[in-house]
Parts: sequence; C-alpha cells; structure tokens
Amino acid sequence: MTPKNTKVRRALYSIGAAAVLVTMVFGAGAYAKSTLNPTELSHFFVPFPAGRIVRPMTVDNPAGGSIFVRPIVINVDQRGILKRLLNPSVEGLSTHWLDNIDTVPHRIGLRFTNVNVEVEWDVHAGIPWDPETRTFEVPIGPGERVPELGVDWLFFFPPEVMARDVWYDGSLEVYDADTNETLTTIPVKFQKSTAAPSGGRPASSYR
Amino acid sequence: MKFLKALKRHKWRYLSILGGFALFVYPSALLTRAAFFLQGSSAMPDLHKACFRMPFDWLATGDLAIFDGRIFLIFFLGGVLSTSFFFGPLFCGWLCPVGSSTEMVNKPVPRRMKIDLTRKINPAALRYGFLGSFVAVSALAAFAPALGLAGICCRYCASSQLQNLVNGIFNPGALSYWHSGAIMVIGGWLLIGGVFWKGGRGWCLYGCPLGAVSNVLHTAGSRLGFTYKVKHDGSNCVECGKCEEVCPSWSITRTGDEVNINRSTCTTCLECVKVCDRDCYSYTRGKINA
Repeated sequence: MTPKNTKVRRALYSIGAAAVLVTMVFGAGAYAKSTLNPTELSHFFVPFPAGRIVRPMTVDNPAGGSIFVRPIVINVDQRGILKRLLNPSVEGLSTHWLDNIDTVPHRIGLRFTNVNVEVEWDVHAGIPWDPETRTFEVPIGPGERVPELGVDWLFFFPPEVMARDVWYDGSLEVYDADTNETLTTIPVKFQKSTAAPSGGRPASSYR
Repeated sequence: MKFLKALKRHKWRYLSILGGFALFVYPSALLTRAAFFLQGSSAMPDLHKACFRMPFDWLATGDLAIFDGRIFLIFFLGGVLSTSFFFGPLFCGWLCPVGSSTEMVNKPVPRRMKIDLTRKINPAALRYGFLGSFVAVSALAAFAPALGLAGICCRYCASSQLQNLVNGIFNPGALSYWHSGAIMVIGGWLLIGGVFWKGGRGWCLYGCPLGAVSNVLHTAGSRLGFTYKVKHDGSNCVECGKCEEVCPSWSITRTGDEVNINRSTCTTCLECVKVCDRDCYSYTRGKINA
C-alpha cells in the first residue's frame, strides 16, 4: 500500500472514530436526561421556607429569578440497567442548593420523616455543619444559598424492603433549628412501577 | 521490570505525579485546601472541588455566576492553560491525577492486551471530536431543552470516581454507592482508557475537555519560537521505535525515518526525551523544524 493510500485510510478511520465518539457523547447526554438524572442520585433544589411541596412548582427567589421545586418520586424500575444489575439496593438523593427565600435569616436543620431504612448522610459545606444534630451552625441570610454545599443521602434498602412496591415513603424537612419551625417539606418516595399512584408523578416525568 | 525501569528513568516525573495527588486528591488536596483556607471556607477539599471539567460546562452554558466562591478555579485553570501555551500541557503530563493514575495502572499490563490504534487513527480526531460534542451537548442541554439532552460533565465524571476510589482506601463505605454513570466511567476511564489502552491515556484523548483545550493552546504556542516544546532531530535516529512505544498519548508516529510529533495530543511528559539513548529528542525553545 502506498503512503498516500495509508494516509487516506488513516484519515477515513479518524473521521469514523470521531463520528462514533460524537454519537456516544450525544447518546450519553440523552441517557443522562431520560434515565440517570431523574432516578439515580437525583439532584433537586431546596428553597426555604416553601411550605409543603405537593406538586412541581416554582417559588420566587428574592435574590433574583425563581427556583423549581418538586416532590421527589423515584421509580426504581426506571433506573439504568447497570445500576439495577450491579448496585440495586442503594439509592441516593443529592442537593447543592439550599436557598433562603425568606426576608429573615434562618439557622436550619435537615431531617427525614418516616424513615424505615438506614440513611447515610454525607454533608459538606462552606459553613460549619454539625453531623450530630444535622444542623448548620450559622444562619443563612435572606436570599443567600449555603455556600459550597454538597449533600448526598444514601438509602440502603434491605431485601425485604426491596420486595415491596414502595421502598420508602416519607419526606425531607427543612426546619429552623432555633425555633423548630418546619420551613419546607419535600415528599420523598422510592417505588416500583407497580406501586399504586398516589398523586405524585415519577421524577422522570419532570423536565 | 520494564515498569520499574521506566520509573527509575524518569523519576522526577513520577514524583511530580505523586505531588499531583497530594495537591488535588483528598485527604491531602493541599492546593484546594489552601484556597478554601484563604476564602475562610470550611468546605471539604477534594478532587471534585477542583474540577477542571465543570468550568467548560459553565462556559458553554454562560453560567459564569457559579464561579462565585470558586475564584480559585479561575487561577487554577488560568495557570494550567497559560502553561500549556508557553511550555506545553505540563499539567496533563506531570500533575493530573486522573490521567496519571490510569497511565500507572496500564504500565504492568502486557502489550498484547492493549488497544493500539496509533497507526490507524489520528488521536486528535478523538480529542477534538469529544471537545466539540461536550460543548455542544452542554449548550444544547441549557438552551434547547426540548432536544432531551443533559450535560455530561458531572454524570460521567472520572475525577469523582478517582476520588471515590481513594476515599474507599480509607473508608470502604465510600464504595457502597455506584450510579450507572459512575459504572460507565469506571469502564471507560479506568478499564478501556486505562488498563487496556496503550499508554493508559485513553480518557485523556476521548474524555477530557481540559486536555483538549490545553493542546489547542500548545498547538498554537508551539509554532512560536520562544515557547517550549518537544523537538526531534533525526540525524542520530536509528529508528529503534522506542519513542513511539513509550509515548502514552499516541503522539509519536514514524513513517520510515520521518518522525511526526502530534501537538494536539502531546502531554509533554518527556518520556520520549528520556527513553532515547541517541539524544534525538529535546525539550527546548525554537522553531519546530529549526
């Protein structure tokens, strides 16, 4: 084969490889949107005070713009196939966005209600967090967001719970740690496709 | 044995790679720790906090406000990119924990088990194909949500998985949760791009926007006489092929006695300079073909 032919062939293979890669990147973006983001380590906004969130809604942020908040309904059967095959018994939720939409500061705490399984908390923030009481040690000012926040909640589902249609049905509460007043309640549910509908839509239906 | 020889031959680079872990990876993460200390932040310093992918995602979506509180990222990025222009992508070759860790795990793997397409494709096509589609997907996810795309930056993040694996050394519980994206990344970054990819730098070629942008700058900078770059002088070359063999980023191809250094993928790791016992390679200033 002549050097010219070799160069042409290499160029064609290179274009083909790039095309495959571009297709994979776009496919990965579509898969993330349709399957991974709504059901695996789903991320959500937590404004406070926003009351009990019974449907997807937006709330005004005094700092500007609005914040989308929704009940969290995870259909565990809609998770990615790798997750369902290799690591089905642990599921997570996550937030980076705790926003004070009030006109007064709040020193907040977080808690789950109706907890029937082990939940591991992994909280890191740019302000001090007390893992014992699950409260921040300083108040969040009006219109401010907890800086550098990363919260992962891991739910460990034992086999007897995984045999049920509904794995967890409770809520995440944001409360004022000084007055114990509940500021925001976000319903959280992990369920199978076979679970009876109870008003909430699967997270995968939110865009 | 070859692995140990390589370590000894280029010991400063491997010490630098260890330094990269110390600078960016928890539990030390010294550079991020220093940045947070200067900011008065109690955030946990880890590889995720010094993410070099997210800024490209933010730039594509115009979400610059997110740099608030992460000003240090601008300095990190500015340092990496300006170094790339003047000295080549030294961060990639000498410090990056994500690329260097896969290069290290690749070294003991027998050659016959490795994917080697060096002569079949131009790896720049992978690198810039990825960069273009990464930016396009981020922008389309933000500005054309009806297309049903999400940014791939965080969901498929090798930095997070490396940090998780390191966390798992100190706390096995850190390895209890894997989402599908993480599992795919372990396959694409560590296994295919690392263990089974000649040189172990597959992810750098097909999954790293920072590396791609660094090499755009290096390609431009290397055309100028006052910048540093790897140069080849064929007058002493005996065509032994060692340089092509040790290059982890598929940047050296030989056609007969002609050697081509691909500036779009070269990480200035200087493995070629160290391995050549005929002193054909040098890392120096000057015009490329001078």
